[in-house]
Amino acid sequence: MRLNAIVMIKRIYGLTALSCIIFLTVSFYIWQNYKPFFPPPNQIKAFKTSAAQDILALNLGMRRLFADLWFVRLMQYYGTPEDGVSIYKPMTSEQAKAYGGGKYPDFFLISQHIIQLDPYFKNAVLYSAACLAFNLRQPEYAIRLLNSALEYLPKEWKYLTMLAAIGYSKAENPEKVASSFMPLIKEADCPVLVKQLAAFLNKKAGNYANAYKIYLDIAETSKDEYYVKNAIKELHKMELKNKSR
Amino acid sequence: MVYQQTLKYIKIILSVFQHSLKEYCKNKLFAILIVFSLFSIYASLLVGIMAVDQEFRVLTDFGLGLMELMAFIYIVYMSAIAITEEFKLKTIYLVLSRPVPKNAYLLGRIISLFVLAAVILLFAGSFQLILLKFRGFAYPPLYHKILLLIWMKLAIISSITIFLSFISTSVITTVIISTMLWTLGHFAPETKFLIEKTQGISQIFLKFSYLLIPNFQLYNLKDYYDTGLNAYTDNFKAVTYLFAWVFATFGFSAFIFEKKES
Repeated sequence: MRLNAIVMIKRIYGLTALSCIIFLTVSFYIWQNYKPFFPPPNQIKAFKTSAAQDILALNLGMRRLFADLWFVRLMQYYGTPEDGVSIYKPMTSEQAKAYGGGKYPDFFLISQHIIQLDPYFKNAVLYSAACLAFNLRQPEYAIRLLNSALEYLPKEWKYLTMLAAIGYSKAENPEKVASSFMPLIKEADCPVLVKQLAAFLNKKAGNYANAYKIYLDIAETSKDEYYVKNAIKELHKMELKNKSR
Repeated sequence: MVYQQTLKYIKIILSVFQHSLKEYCKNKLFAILIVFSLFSIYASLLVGIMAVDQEFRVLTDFGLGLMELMAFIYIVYMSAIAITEEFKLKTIYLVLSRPVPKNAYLLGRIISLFVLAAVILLFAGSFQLILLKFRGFAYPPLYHKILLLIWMKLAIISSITIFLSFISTSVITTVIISTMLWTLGHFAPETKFLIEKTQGISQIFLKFSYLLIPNFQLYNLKDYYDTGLNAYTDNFKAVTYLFAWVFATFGFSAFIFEKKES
């Protein structure tokens, strides 16, 4: 009876020791071979009062979700007119011409914050870079943004295409800019803002067939009411022009 | 003889498992949590609509994040009270007065918690897929793998919580320590970065101490499922690490449980 108890105790100690050794070996192997693929915490710069949220994003393993939230905030920020004009009132022709433009001083900072949280958020990178370069006339910030995103996805051809488009726009070559956008807009996840830009630039460069195709694509696939309405309006205009010829 | 004994052992585990699972599912908190998580996932539709062209991404991310959080809250709480409450209410003595091996009882309890985590994820996951279908979206890439990896995280934290419940003084302490380990586990890249910045003895000490923190980033596919970095979620590594944690915490828990007076 006593012998049985001793054997039992030895077995329990043995099992516990064995589980301890296995655990430490596996844990050591996992940690040694673990390569982080997100930017280290010192590269995340808090935007205004975002520090607490950033910590939460890291602690809960939800960087992607928080990057999504910041992207929604960025769109809301950019969608709010700077001059205090209500978005619910119809725009005058001058306001419509200037639509999308402005200063938006926090735009680059918010975009940068999104990339610091999730550098693989391609749509946010393209959206922000296109806005900065072509709408807000801040191409140097757009290039900075694309370069920081390229650090994590160096072979991403969409970023390189956007960089090329910005380069052509700096050289004041609208035709090249318009044609450089074409491979981008064929992608399913291309931001509607980039499509809109491509259509506008193609129209400006006299490539009406391409512009018509892009507007048609926006009208059929986009969920953004503003862009859909605008695309339908442009399509009507182009059809009328074609008929009058 | 050995075959019969094994069969008897498995029967005990199964009966403990069935009883425990019924108990967890009948709990009022379970119903509240399921309703709340379904409501939260439904409410994520609003954020999705605000994201306009990124609705699919936002809906998927919010749904996955919320279901992980809800499942974590319930599993940790249930694991914290699984054995300690039984001792407190003295109901465990009714079971252990029969010829029930303590480790079989513990194993039955742990397995029931693992199955409970799977039930919650399957339920919430199905609801999210219905919502996505309702909004006209396709099946998210690697969705089943993301859910499986979330389940693995929950299984690890559940085993740790059970072990902690044996050594801590109260349920609240157990839940707090488990939550800290959950957050530290997700802090893995940052922990490694900070340790690399230290030098000397402190680095050696920290390098040893992080072995005792579960690396949950290994299972966090929901953060990078469409980036083409899926190679980082090595299936073999993930399963081996899960077994190491479950085996170790079960070993220690069984050791303490055996030594506890019944």
